[in-house]
Amino acid sequence: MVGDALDFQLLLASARHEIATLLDDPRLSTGLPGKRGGALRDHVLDLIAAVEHRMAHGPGGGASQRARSAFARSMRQSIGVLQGAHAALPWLEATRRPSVNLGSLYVTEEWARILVGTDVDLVVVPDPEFMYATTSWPFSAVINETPGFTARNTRRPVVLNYPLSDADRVLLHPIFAHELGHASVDEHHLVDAVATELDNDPAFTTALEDTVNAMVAGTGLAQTQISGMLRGLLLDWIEELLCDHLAIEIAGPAFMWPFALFVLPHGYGEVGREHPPNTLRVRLALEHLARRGWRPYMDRIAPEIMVWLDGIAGDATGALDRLFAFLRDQLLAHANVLQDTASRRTGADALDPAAMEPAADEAAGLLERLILPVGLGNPLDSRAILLGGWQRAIAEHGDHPAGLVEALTDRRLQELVGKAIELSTVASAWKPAK
Amino acid sequence: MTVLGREDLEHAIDDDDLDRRLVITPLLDRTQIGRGAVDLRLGTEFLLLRRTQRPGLHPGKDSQQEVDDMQERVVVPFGDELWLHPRHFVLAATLEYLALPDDMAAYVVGRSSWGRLGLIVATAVFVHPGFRGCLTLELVNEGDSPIALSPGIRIAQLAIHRLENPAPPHEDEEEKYLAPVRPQPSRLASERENFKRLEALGEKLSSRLG
Repeated sequence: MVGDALDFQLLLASARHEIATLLDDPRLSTGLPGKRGGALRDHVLDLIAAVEHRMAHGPGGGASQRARSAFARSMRQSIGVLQGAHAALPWLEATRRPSVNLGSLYVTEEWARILVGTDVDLVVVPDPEFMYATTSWPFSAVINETPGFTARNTRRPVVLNYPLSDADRVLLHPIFAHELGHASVDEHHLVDAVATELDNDPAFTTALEDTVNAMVAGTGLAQTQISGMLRGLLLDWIEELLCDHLAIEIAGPAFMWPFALFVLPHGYGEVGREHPPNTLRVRLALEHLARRGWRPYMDRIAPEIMVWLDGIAGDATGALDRLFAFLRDQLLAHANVLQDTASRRTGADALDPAAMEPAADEAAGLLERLILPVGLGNPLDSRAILLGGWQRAIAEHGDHPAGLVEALTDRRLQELVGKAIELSTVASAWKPAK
Repeated sequence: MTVLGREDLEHAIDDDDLDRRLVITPLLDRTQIGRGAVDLRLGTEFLLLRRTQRPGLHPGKDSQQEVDDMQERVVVPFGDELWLHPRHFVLAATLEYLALPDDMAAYVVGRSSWGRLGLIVATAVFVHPGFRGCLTLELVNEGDSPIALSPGIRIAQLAIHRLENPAPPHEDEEEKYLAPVRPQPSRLASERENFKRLEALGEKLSSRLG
């Protein structure tokens, strides 16, 4: 029976077994050099300590059946999460021997610092399901729901998964900036900030009411049901669009080009489960790039690609179901709210075209000569190297959509770009011995 | 050929004309430029020989893929280290990326401080004019104690020579190791034609006896 003495015996023994297995693993028991992975390791140790806390504060002999059942539930949840924590052990190993290009790792850590904060511990690991995904505080479900327990770790562990086959596709890695956007949105409550601004706009609330009423009349569903569904979709779309905007803030056109080649083969104007139509994403991304002053640079580097992207953006206002059309129209009308929210987050760390264009031109010129673009004088900004890499890729593989895809098969160019970012980061951090 | 001294090296490294410039990047510290050579540092990527079921390597018969499959790439970030055990062999690369102008060639030699610990930094030794890339270093621990290798440490020296009559490269010289940024496995497999010619020659010579 749930919560009886034998059930407790099984649960406590299983939890102890899971804890011992984790602690026995040298990947967890051995300290890590430097800060990389340290917060993730402490987070796993916090999980273990939280479960031990739960075990030590179980119900006494005279406790009610309800209390005993609740404890059994909490132990089953603990055991499940402890088993899941085994996944973190290869992640810890990956912090010592990164499989992702080291230059990409350095620039991604820089993006994480800007978007999430200086107290972030970024762990970049290949995903067995070949997906891009971000997880913050992976084991917080147990740690935060253990009354009386205080976690030791306060640095946010962020695990960024990517397909192993993309490990050296450096030109694709600005997609990581979008993924880190999810951690940023979570840490700084950015979706709430946008939603609040929308809710304070009478034009939005009136349009929302009209849409809900029309859908109630048309479907026969309850008003609360439709409102809830609409709200859920709105928040999902805001989050995705904010992540695009944040990525543009910190990577500029170096995000736009891989973003287009990454999402457009998977969908065009259709609505995804959590994602807005790609036509809308492209349109809002281009609007934000223009506002940030990138358009003249992009028109100079890739005029034909920009014409193609403008055409896609033009299709954003095509026919959609009423519910989705409402979301699309409202987000287009409130594009400035998305833009302002993203810009506030990045502040002075946003990529500035005036500063970046000459550096990107220098990097592209050096790449053309097969000289590693670390910088002939001072080290070049790693983000300018990435931009220069795209500039060179478009010049070499063509100013058309297929050229963007071919750039990703250019192994030598991406090796040069990745190594240049790695070495410019090292050179920037280097202080000569006196 | 003359060996460039410190002053000539500094001139070549600072030359504004990119066609004539000796690029060694990043040059973290100007003290790396010595009286007759430039110190090079250890990079962050290594190729280790993988233990497999294969009996060994035959560069004349194995494909390039088979040779590559026997190597495992390991990245060791700054601040961490790779331990090289006695009699073990590893391919590494220089931290610096080189771009030699067409009128310069170079020789790479190990630093004696490492040699005295038993570490042999054998390399491709001669660097061709016009070479671009990070140099592959062949590291062997001939001592009796494991040696910690830290990325960024000064590990080799590059002596630069100026050519008197530079000539354009042969086609096969240009493509074999173009602009590598990480240690390169042997490309002997790409010379299989030479092995076949030697085999044919052997048959021809032996048939004279029969």
